[in-house]
Amino acid sequence: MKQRGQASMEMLFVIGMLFFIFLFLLGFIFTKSKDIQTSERIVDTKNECVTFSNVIMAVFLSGNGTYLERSLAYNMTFRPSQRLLSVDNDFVTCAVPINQVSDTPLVKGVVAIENKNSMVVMKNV
Amino acid sequence: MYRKGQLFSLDFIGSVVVFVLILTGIIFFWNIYTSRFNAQLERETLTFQLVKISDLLVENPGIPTQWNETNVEVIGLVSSDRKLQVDKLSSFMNVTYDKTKTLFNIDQYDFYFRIVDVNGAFIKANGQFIEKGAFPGTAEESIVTIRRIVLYGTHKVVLEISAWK
Repeated sequence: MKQRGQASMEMLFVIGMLFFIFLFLLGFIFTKSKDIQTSERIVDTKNECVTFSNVIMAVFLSGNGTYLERSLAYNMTFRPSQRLLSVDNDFVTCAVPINQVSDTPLVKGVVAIENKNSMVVMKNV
Repeated sequence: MYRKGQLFSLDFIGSVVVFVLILTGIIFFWNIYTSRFNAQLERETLTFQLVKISDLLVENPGIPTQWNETNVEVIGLVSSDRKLQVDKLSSFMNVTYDKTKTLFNIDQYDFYFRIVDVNGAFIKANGQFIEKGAFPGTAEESIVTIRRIVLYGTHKVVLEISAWK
């Protein structure tokens, strides 16, 4: 009986340690899983931001009368004073070297982008 | 029972040590790859921004069209597509370094701009070499450089812009 009791104490200690190790592991996996989800969202919105800022530049450089329509996967706003395109309520922003862009907030869906006398005007259609 | 107890403890301690070592390794490499990923993301962001800036410089006359260092809103160096205009180059040289960074929207970076001939020799506009900013040191690890071929009068020249953090 005495020997069996000792074995149980050892077992309890091992189970306790394993419990803490797996608890730590669970916390680690949970944190990293969240990091990956955030990174995935950043890459996705950043991609959309860069692509759309390239579209804005292309419309600006193509000259007066250029018009195109494109669909957006996120809400976007251009801030001319800061020359920034903001995606999904500032979750991601990207710099654009021009300020001749309308500041109308755009909701996800189809938008029209037009160059009117060297001013890029954007609106939902 | 005595021998069984000892074996069990040694096995356990050994496995915990191996497990902790593997876990430490995973965390270490995870952090390395995360910082590499972020650095790569930032480098790509800068590359895209420089491409836009170089497009702007060589494809657009600027805003206002006859801009100077005081009224400039958008910098452009050409009279028409890829044909450099000497007056605009002179005006560009007179815009301060910090104002240029703000207009390019690269405030958090440093940049270096120059125009050289196809052999790499500097070009002059109104008696001064066409360069702006400090030449990047060799210690700068993540320099992004864009080169564009443009016309300066009737000669082909190279417009070069570099940026780094």
